[in-house]
Amino acid sequence: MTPSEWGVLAAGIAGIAWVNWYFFLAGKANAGATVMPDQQRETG
Amino acid sequence: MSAHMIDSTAASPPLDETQRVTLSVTGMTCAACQSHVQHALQKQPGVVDANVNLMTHQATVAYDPQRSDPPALIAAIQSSGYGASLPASEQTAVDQQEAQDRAARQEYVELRRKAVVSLLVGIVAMVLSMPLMTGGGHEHAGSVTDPFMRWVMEAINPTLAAWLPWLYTINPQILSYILLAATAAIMGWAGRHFYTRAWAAFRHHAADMNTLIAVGTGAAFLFSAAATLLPGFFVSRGIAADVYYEAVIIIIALVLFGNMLEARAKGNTSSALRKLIGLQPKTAKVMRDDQELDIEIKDVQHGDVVVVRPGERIPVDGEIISGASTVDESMLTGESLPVEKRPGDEVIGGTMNRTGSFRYSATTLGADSVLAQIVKLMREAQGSRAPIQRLADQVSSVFVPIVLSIAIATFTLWYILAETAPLVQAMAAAVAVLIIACPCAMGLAVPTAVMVSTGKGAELGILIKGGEALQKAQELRTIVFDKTGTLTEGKPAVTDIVLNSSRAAELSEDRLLTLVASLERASEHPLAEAIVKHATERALPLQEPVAFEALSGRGAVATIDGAAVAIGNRVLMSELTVEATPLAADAERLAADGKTPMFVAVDGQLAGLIAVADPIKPTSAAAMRRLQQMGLEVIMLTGDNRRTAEAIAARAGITQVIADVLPQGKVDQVKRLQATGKVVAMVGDGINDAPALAQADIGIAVGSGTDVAIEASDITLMRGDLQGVVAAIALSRRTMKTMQQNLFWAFIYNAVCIPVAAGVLYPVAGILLSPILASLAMALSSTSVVMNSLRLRRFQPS
Repeated sequence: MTPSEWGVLAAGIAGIAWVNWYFFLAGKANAGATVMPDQQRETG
Repeated sequence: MSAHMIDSTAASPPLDETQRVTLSVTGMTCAACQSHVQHALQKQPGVVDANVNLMTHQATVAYDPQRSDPPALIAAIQSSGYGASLPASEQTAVDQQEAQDRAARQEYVELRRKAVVSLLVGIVAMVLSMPLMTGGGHEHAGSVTDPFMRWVMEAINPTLAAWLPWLYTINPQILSYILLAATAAIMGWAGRHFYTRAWAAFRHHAADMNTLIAVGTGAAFLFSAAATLLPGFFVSRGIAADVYYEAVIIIIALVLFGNMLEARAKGNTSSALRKLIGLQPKTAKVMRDDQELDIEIKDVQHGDVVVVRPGERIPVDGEIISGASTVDESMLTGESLPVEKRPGDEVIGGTMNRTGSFRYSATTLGADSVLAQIVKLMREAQGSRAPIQRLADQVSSVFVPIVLSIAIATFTLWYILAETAPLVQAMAAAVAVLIIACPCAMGLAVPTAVMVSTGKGAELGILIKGGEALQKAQELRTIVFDKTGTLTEGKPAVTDIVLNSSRAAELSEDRLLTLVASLERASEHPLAEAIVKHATERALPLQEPVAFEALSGRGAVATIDGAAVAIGNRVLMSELTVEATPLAADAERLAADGKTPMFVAVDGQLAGLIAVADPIKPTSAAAMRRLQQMGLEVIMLTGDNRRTAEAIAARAGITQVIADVLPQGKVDQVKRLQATGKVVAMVGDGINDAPALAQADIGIAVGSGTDVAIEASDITLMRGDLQGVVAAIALSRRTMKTMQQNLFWAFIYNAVCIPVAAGVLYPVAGILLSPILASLAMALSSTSVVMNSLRLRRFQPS
């Protein structure tokens, strides 16, 4: 494999990992984060 | 801030403190859009529950008014990339549906305009691309790896070169710039919503069909733009500086065409609803100050006298004051024969007056009218979700990120493994994967079938409450029929009067009937009404009963004209120590004929027998036979005595009878059948049987369009014919089959086409899919699902 092929392979793996992190994990974490500050304001 | 404090405030408010609002949502095209809007709402502070419907384009949201309000909910939907508005509060279901139809029509016209212009520009772009693809020695010359474009080029290029030779003399650089400008214009105008919605979804960590189109066309455009603006960079690295502008434009055009066909087909799924709404006349002839005035329907008031002439549609619900006619109610009840109407009879707004003229007093109006109620029920039913949809929802929620991952993997593998032009091959395959994947078909598989099916049901006089009722109805194994008013006409009549021969001299038939009818005047039992009616027809003078007492399940007693009169079954006679033996054989004979015999005692001695019978409906036997042929266990449930019940059951073709059941015992009998693992339907008249209808897995109310019946049942038959039960079950079975076919094809389509687009067949068969063909397949897949659902419109109950 040429260096550019190694580069594309590494970028592809990173891309797939990022897509799955962004849509499956970060979304859920973000959903929790958006609710909590508002609730804290109300209790405070 | 402690976790405990956060939890305590996160608790949902009590249900009575929440408010509910229904918002109109625009711009949703697939299940992922629906789920995206739903998540956006659910994430809003104060939202307790949000239910978004793709087909009706509505969001029903329950929220805590202390923490949220409709403008905040609308803003949340808008920030997720979709449109939202609050329906006007005074709108009836009919108005809301008309507004929704207008919006759908506008959307269709807009999509059509964009699709046609994009396709025309796409064709021009393809022609302009020909000189670039054939090379001609300039720097853009490259190998045409897209199999579709290669075929087009081989087929068209010689003719084009002969007809438009000047085209091949234009500087390729100029052609590329023209194509770049045209593509950017189409992307920014016709395809704008793909990118704005994809971006809005992306910001919320969501992805939908727009994401796939935006990433696919965006990648092809950026690659082409780079090749146009920096051709030297590509050539110096040995990469063909190919451009794919025509593919981007044609993909956008084809996806828009797909959306347009889908919008049109989706519009057809609610055609039954539109037909119903079309029944509502716009004006009414009303008597005001002794003058006949034509006024708008919304101005008709309760109690107004409305005039209807032959051939006119009845404008609002009411009760006939004078005149008579026959009215065609088939559009609301499915009853094909016109119904005779006389003073005192009710008429329904939207039905067609046939032969006579009459005047009537307006009763229920606006949102309370029968037509508006049916439209409301149908809208709710069409917006409901069938449990089978959960499977599609689960797949849709993970579908797009998985497709994005597959596209990246496809690009990587093609780049590494392709022998020639790896970058170009890799990009073409990855774009094809993105474009061919279709989450829309999965999202439309179930709701379109529910919409067409509930609409078809309404045309046949069968009001189905929603997707869940449809799915449950096809799972039925046992169906329980109430007797009176369901299997029978519900209009009992006196058939026999038998006198006790030992007292015949002192009590004539008329005298016996007078005494009994006078007693029964105080009773509300249906059999009592039959006796009073019979006496009235004979013009017998009835008297006021004294000390009347109804004895539940046995009969009634009272004093008439100084005589102690009792009427009831043999148990009552025993309690009163009246010897019933002299007429026991007659009672047995009458019961064996399906009649209900009642013993009459006067002054403590047996005086005679009165038999009442309720004739069985003409179509009941055929309906029972058909249900049994469909593999259903049919049971009759009645409070009548066993002999009578069995006789009626035998005529109806029913072998299983549960008799002597008190009204409150019907619920227990349904529970007992359910406890054996059977999915049970209860068919009743909807008022007396309401608890049993509610207990059954499917409650079917017969022959009534009243609010009570609709509320208590899952399915309401607008007329009394039990063939409607057969039709309802057959329709639900057919609908489930359609849903399964739709889901199967939607899953199979994606499961087969995505790997083919990725190029799995290339090593073995040399098959590669063009991104343009991929967009065509995608457009056809969702349209085909909707078309399959539309086949339900041809359903015939026979």
